Amino acid sequence: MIGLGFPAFTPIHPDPQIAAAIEAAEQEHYLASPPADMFMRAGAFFLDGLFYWILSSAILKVAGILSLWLPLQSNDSGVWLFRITLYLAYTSAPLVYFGATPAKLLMGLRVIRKDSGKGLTWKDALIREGLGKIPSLILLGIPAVLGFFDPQRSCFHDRIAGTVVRQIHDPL
Amino acid sequence: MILLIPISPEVPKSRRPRFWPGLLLSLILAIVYMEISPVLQADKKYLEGLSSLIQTHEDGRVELMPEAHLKLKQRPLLKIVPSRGDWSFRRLLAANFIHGSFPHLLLNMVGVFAGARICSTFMPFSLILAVFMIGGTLGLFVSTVFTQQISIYIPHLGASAGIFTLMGMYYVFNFHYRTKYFFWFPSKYGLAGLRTHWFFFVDVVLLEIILSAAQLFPGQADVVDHFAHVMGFAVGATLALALRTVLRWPAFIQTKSEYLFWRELRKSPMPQDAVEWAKTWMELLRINKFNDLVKENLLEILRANAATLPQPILDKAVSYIHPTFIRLNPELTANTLTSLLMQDRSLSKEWLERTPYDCVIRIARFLVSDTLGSEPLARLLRPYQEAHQKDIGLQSKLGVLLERLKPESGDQAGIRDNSPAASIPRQSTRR
Repeated sequence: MIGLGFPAFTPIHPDPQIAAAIEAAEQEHYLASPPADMFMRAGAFFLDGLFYWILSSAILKVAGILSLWLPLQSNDSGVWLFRITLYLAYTSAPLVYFGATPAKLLMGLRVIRKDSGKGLTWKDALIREGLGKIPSLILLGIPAVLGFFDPQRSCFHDRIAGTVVRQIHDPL
Repeated sequence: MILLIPISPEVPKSRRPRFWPGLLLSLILAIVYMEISPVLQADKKYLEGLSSLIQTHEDGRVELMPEAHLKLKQRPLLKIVPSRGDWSFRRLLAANFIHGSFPHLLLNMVGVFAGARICSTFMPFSLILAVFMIGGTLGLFVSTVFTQQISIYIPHLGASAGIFTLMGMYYVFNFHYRTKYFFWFPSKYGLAGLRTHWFFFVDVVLLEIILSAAQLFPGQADVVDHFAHVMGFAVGATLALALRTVLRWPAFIQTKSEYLFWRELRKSPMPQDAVEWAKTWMELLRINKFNDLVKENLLEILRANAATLPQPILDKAVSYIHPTFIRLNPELTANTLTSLLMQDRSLSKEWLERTPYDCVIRIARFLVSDTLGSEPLARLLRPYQEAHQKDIGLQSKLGVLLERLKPESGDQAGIRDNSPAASIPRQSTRR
């Protein structure tokens, strides 16, 4: 991910006035950007799913071949616990540090706080991805369809975490 | 195993991959399949009674009876394709074009079409065919010799090793660039330009390495010949490196057209000064405007010669700094712009007009520094504001930002603070 020019790797000027001016400009720009198209978000979700699947399959396969950790070698609760933890790490860490998941970054999308335009904290990200998305996935994505009928394109997981997804720029 | 099909390297429309090399290679596979279908039918019929010769142990282990090995040795398919216990060079070569079933053929036709097509941006068809056959044969040979299987008379066949050879060629030739992948309908949402050096590796190589490692352990393998895939890819990458060395193909050249231009340039004396070099890089960018490595070289020239480059050259060079390049290389862009702006060089109005605000925001953090304060940023924002006079919303955003950047006690935005406190080096913080 390094080299894509994401905010986590961008230095902030030590002068608090300049740093605050730039941050405020960023947040205002994000808030003023249009809500992300639902098809675009669905595409990003699909691509993230693929990235996640590659990552989890690779880890499980290596664990199986090298007999690294017994619970990862059978299809039991250990595997599920691992998959859920990895899913939360895969989605939440990029949200906190880069402002979006890898696929969303490629699509020019940014997840921000609805009220301030600021980036998400760990708490926000875990609520959004854990309490919001996992029940949504269990219910076959039906709560996420809410976004189609909302002018701000807020899905169930956005409402629960107080977030919005904005189209910051064209897909890379 | 490939998850996403690479559509094309990121190149201009006129340099896009050609259709016919992939189509021709796919047709060859289809014709060969039709030609050998009597052998496949005879083979299928021959193997009908084989299930009675399989022994399953109490621990779940499956073994073939000795008669089964003898029966497999005589199967009709082994007359045209190799196996570990019975192979020849002729059969290894032929196996690249032979498929055991229609789904196998269909999958490999798609693969061969994609592989030959994307390689056509830098190779002629004759070379594509030669590379496909060399890599495929070597891949099949290694897999035939080293794979652990239930019998030494299991045939190894299919174009996949050759397909991975083409992928290996493509990987080396496009290592520094981006590849367009399709993954979602409608295509305007589902085409992503992903960096070849990491995504192609994950998509094509990493999975195959993991799966081929499993192939070394009996009982963990599936029916796909991952070992041949990895070997094919390695051969393709090696051939590409050798070819690039022989052709003296520099890393910053992506397409065949750029290479031809560079080869002609090498015949005459190389550029002597910054202006000539800037013109050379711009000529390459005229051929392929997506070549980010050439843009990096051009920006380096601009940065180092900010004071002396003639204005028309500068304007033309800046026009190649596209939004995607700024988004991917904000620091390099900001450093170049800082050099230009601090030398009082003006940026072309056309470029300012077509540069989106998100790009300005993205480079804003790099345009401020300990030594120069926010002066470079202010010097960019003022003409940017002038260039976007019709956009009322943007005008107000820029006005607010410029106002906020003005030092509380200074007379102008970004004036250097010469107080003793300002001379103490300060650590940059990261969010």
